[in-house]
Amino acid sequence: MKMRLIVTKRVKPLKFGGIIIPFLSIVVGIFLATIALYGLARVPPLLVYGAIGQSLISPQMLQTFVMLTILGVALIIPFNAAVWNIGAEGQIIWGMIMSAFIGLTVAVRYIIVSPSDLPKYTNMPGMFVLPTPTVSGAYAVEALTMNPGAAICLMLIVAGIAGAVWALIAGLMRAYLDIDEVATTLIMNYIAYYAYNYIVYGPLQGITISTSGFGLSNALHPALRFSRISTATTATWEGVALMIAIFVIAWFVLRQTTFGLRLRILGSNPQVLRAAGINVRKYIVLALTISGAIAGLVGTILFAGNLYQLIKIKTITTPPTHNIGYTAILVSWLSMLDIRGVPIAAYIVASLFQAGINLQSSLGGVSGGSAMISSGALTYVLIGFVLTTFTVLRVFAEYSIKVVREGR
Amino acid sequence: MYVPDSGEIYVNGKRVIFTSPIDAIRHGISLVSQIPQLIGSLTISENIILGLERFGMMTNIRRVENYIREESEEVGIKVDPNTEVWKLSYTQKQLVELLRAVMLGAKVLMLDEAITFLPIREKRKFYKFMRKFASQGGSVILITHKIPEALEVADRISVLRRGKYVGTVETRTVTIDDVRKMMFGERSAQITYERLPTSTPDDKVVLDVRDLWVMGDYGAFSVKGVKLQVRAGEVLGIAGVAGNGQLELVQAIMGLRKVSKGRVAILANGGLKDVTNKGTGKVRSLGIGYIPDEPLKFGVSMENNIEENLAMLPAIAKGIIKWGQIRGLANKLINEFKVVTPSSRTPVKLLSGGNIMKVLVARELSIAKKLLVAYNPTRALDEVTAVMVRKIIKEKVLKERLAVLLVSEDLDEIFQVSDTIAVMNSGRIVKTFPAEKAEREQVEKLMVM
Amino acid sequence: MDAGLIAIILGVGPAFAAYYLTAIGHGLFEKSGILNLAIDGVFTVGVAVAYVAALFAGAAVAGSVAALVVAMAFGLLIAYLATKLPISHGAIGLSIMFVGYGLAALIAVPIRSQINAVVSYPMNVGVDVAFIIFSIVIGVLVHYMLSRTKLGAAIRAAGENPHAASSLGVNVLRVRLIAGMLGYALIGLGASFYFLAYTPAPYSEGMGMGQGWIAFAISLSAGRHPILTILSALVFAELLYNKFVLQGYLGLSVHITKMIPYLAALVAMVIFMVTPLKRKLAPPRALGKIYFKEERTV
Repeated sequence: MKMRLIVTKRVKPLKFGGIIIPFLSIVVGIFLATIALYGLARVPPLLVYGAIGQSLISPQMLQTFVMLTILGVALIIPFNAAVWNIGAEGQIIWGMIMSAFIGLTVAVRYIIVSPSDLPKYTNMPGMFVLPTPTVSGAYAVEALTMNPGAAICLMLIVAGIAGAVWALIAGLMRAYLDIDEVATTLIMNYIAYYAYNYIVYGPLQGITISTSGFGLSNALHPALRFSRISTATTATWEGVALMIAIFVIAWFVLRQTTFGLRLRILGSNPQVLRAAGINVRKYIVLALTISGAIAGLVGTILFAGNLYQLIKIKTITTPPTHNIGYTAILVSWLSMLDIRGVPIAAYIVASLFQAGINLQSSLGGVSGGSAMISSGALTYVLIGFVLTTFTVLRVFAEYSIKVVREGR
Repeated sequence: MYVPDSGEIYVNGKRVIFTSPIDAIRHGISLVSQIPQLIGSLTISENIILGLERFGMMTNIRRVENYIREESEEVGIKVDPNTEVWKLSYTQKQLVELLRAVMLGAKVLMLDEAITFLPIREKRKFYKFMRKFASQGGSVILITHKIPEALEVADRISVLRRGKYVGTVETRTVTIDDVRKMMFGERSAQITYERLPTSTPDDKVVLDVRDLWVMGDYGAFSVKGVKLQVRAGEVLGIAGVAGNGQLELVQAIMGLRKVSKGRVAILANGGLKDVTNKGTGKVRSLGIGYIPDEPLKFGVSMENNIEENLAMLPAIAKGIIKWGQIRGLANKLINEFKVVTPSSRTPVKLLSGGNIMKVLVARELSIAKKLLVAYNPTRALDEVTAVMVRKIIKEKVLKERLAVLLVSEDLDEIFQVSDTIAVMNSGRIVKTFPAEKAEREQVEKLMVM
Repeated sequence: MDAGLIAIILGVGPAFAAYYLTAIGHGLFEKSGILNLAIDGVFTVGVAVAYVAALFAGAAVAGSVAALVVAMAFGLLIAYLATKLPISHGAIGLSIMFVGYGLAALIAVPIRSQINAVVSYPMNVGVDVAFIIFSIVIGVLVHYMLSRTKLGAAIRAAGENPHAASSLGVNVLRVRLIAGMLGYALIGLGASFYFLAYTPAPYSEGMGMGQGWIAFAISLSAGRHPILTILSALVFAELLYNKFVLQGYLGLSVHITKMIPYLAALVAMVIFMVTPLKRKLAPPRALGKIYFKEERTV
């Protein structure tokens, strides 16, 4: 007797597969992660479960949730068309750079004042005094040159364009030269990182003694910063509003327009579109460009909502994005490429993100050196195992696996 | 490649079950098909050695080159084994396939239309080789639709019709007409179906194709100087055996395949507009319906539902989709064509093949304002539905003065609907008849010569 | 030339060996048709394993062997999953990359916090030269295997068109498992050299991250060709190893210098697709394509 496993495509997709499979993957993935955590670093499983449970209701993860939802939407647009944008990182980075360019140069001008004149400006409305003096010993004051609302809109528009252009390059290469977009978008992330570093040491470096040459830009004028929802979270009203707007528009476009419909068909059957007389290349380019534009907006949310300053990338693995552009890939996969699933997936992944942080802080009392493991690495373990399990289990949504016994 | 659902295969009196091409090869049975199965970026020796189990994985290919060279001379083929396959002509690729089959130790060579596309001079070489192979104790099964070819090389001829075995005859004892009768069956003399009423075409030319040359997939011309015209209120039926350039002709007209030479023009704003190599979008925008070959691959998107398959076409929806309107259209077509489906929002992949085909035909007829280009539009349908679809098409031709270019491998269909019949063979339109004057026997002969 | 300059030039040896071996391992694996996005994660694991194993065994060679074996296991896993199941190569690759990042920290960080020592390869000009020679010999062997042997033809066939390869007599799964095993063995070896010879410092979390992507870019910019990769690896290793020298010469910003490998890879990809080099250096046709027949056995 010999046993064989046979994989066949299901005629009907698995019932409730869109819910069961992501849920099962999370459970199995977390279980595998606990085994690895305990086996390699003696992290007690109960601590892991505690950290995850705690993170599910933590308000701290709200900002991560907002950004992951927006990025998840950004990514499922091309993913629906089987165009794989791995380059959200680079697109966010360019969004940040261009937001900083608007926020730090176009929307403000710098008044150099001597220390003795400083008190005059400190309390003047619309003025923002940079905390440390400039190289020459004088102080720099940021004065708005335009309406703050208009400046924020301009930041968003320019960031969106920057992200779109960055993605467009890969889109054109894929559509017209048939160069795999996975490799190009990935490589372009690294180009964006180094361009970012070049810019924070160059054109956008700060003018004060603590920023100039230290890989830091000036700080953003407080009037241009997004407003926090509460002190318990870094999430902002503007970020949440953008998330809702982007989600609704993207849902409408994907479900209610011919553009969205054809994108979805492009993913499963490009030949049908060609026979229908549709320019498939145009759709590939547009899918990537739109995706890049939305990712670019996240750059503004990150810059004007959280960081207020460009900070150099010390090592290539610790960009200011915290690799959220990669994590968002997990969100769009977990959503099974259905936009309605994106917020749920984003919530779960944001919790895992937060769980890494919570777990790290609760490791203090554990012996054996595991307390030295960073929250980032703990997050990678959790996310990595969930994602791997999901990738494998996903097969069951569309395929069935049977065991066949063969007599010999 | 396929595993039989029932029946048995015996090799040298022993029953065998083949689950992969390798199994068959191990029993000395090799297949060479119309489409070369070689890998282009590999050299000839590499392509061949991959199947030779007596060479281990770490064998240096250069060392076997001489062996391959000797073998190929033995077979009568002159190729440098160190050439990459993509550099070869179609003929040379087929020669390599043959060499490969022989080197794999084939006792039975199956040639499935393998030499159909070859020029006559090359064919003669193959015939010679086949004779030699047979005289050395091998067997050759040559699958062809060209009766003269079969008569020229074969010792015995077996006829299959629609998957059924008709009979076997000794070549010396038969004529072309005998074999033709076996191929087309008892119906060959009479028309089975009642002809649908003939339409008298208008003078207005809707589709004008002149001296069209189109490349096939394997580097040879599939369409060689085709000239045809379809007028408003006319069904032009193109009869022919599959693989004689019909597919490439239709794809070139629809802008899906590059035209090397010649012109395709379609009626627009009262005059003929040149649409050669202008892209499918341009052609479609002139009010053209298209029922492609392989409808499941090129016609409908299986993952999407009926409504989505309608809304996908620019002729049906633009910009924001009004789903209410689309649903109305979907239900109208479902009723008209008696599509069996739970609802208009059922994914197409859950429907039967015939019902998918109905959805496609219904959709394309609903958008065809001037011209319908159809390739085997009723192949997947049962006879009753097929006749119904043909009637609907003909009605549109009669009442709305639609022009139809119908390419079909089914002669009954051609005779039932066409107003004009053209016969296509080896990339050329060999003859055009008014349907009423066309004699079935003559058409058949032109198809298989 | 004075001895100092020679030492500087040859000092690139360990860096070259690390990037070159990783790049040809990557190229070898991708030649079989599997999109290899797990490279950076497994490279990072390789660094962690090399550090721990060398420390415990007290010999750098043990670190290399351990990294090689662990990476090989990853290669087999990826090759098996991507060939046997209808799953996206990109998805499985990136997932395993995340797992790799995490596991690397779990393996090495607790040990680093208890033991403050590093076992590494000796550092002198002789060793530098040995690294260069060793890795080029491996590269030539890989090139021979890929271009001259039946196994190499089978790997290329599986990458070009697995269905046709299968009907020509190739066992696609077996061939891809071999390619995954050999390719990842080289990636593991490269990772171990990166840590034990090029940057032997007390381990810190995240060591090696991003280096896999550099090797990825090096391999792509040479069209995955093992011999051409010698050139691109040498150029990039010199750029990275002697980046400060280069800055001085050309007045280039260090950030722009670091960007060059990636830009070069991008430009090379365009060149390979639009020029006659396409026939030799374009990516395998079936790279990243799901290989699945309607019904099959696992």
